[in-house]
Amino acid sequence: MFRTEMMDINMGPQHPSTHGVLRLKLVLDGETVNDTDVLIGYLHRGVEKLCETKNYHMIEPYTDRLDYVAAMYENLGYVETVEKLMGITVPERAEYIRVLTAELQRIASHLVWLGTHALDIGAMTVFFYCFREREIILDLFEAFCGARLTYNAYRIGGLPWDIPPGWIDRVRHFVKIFPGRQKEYETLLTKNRIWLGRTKGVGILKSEDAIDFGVTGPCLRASGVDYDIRRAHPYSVYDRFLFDIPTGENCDTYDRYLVRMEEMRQSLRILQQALDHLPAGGVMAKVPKRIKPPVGEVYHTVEGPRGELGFYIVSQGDDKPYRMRFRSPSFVNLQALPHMVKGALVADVVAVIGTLDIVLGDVDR
Amino acid sequence: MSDEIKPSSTPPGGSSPPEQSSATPPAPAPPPAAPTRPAAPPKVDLSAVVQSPVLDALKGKFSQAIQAVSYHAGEVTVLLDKESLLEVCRFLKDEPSLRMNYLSNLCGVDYPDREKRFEVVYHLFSISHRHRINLKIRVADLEPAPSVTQVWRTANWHEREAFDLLGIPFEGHPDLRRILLTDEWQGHPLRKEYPTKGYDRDHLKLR
Repeated sequence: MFRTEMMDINMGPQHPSTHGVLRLKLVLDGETVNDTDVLIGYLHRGVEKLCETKNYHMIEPYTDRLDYVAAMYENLGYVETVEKLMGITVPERAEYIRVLTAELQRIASHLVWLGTHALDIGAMTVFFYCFREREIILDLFEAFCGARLTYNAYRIGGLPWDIPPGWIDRVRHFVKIFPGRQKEYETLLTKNRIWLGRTKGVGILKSEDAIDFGVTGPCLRASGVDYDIRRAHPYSVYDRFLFDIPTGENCDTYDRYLVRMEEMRQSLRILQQALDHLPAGGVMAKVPKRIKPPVGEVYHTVEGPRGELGFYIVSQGDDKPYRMRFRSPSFVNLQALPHMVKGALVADVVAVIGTLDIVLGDVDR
Repeated sequence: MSDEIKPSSTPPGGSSPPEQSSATPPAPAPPPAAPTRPAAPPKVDLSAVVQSPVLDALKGKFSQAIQAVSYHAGEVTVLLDKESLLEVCRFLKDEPSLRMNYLSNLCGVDYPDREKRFEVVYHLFSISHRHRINLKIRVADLEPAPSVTQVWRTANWHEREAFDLLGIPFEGHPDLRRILLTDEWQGHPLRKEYPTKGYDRDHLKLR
């Protein structure tokens, strides 16, 4: 006389913990997730199609709007790809400033992740602390390029401008104060019993599955794979800096938390070295006003805060790309979600979405 | 690409960075930078042939399947027969000396003037050996491309996207349906003949 049956539940697209407009169709057995269908595309703007109608300079602002939480990396990956396509060598000072801004962006992006992830799980305080420090970084970006979110900060061949006076001292100040601030977050979370209960053993992704699903970035490293593009295929001047690549062991949400926390410390190390060795000189290489790359195609990847950001450009010798493809880490990492939440509770789905650190602008393009 | 971190001008530069944009007294700094910059760009040979252990292995085992090899900016791209793609992919993934276990990107490119209008491009990396190679196949309109989801699970969404935006069907795909656009969408926007502003939008003044 009693019977159970599967129940279909829609999560999103307006659910606050889906970080945007992600829709999940969960097949539930009680509170246990039996199957998940990920439905995306609510933010699809057809950027790849648009890029085919724009010249190379006009595309950079579009890249800002893909992953708007870490727009510096979208800029960086894009301009580096065009530079690789054309064989442009960028002045050293520009490379160092790019590294400085990019690593600051990694910290800012991880702070957004930490704040929102903790908020999803119920730890509200961390959010305010994280955004306090993120504000310092956004102020630095505003002083550098005038924008706080969509920067359009680099140019093909270098930078449009040098850093403003006093900027280096402000970055030094940030590098000095940030470790203490990071300790504050860790005091709140690392040994917090509720935090441990909500993250330990949740959303396990074994290393072979992670590689097979193409998962990259902190999620891959938390599964114990020592793979970071800054080390494996160094771009810009990353081969000159000393830094460690943190890896996890338990492949769960808690390890992904630890890996990202350690990555912020390593970013500070890179910042410190880049500040100490910042060369003098110009910031812009000699490039023609009209960018017309030769016929050919390149695929270039950079290590963004969410994982591997790939840019594939096919050039037919025109001033517009023939085909532009953005390989966004959020899109690929999200694919592993059904695998990670299978057999978990509904509440854990929220934790896993948070730990994957997706940005829907990047998923849907 | 020198390995030295410190250029000769670091000591004067290190003391002045905060004000360097307004006051530029370190006159010795520009001269060392100036001669290297103009000299570098013209020397880059973008289509230089580069060595690739992956290509050597492919040439040894699948020489008849390779239609063409192209080089650009240090990347090797191999154009393959459609029929042998799956076999080549399995070999690349399972061969212990290659272990191309990570499919970074998969996408289609539309060349409407060609007899086989679509190219499907695979960007492969090896996480353990740090190798990389790009593979390509060509298919005509409505001609199915072999799905590599059995080799790399990550291909699933990439192939769905190529199907959605370009209309390339993938044979053997477990769940081939649209992914970014709605199910009832007409046409495939990334095809070259598809207008950027979309169909039935002629009243809109868009460029």
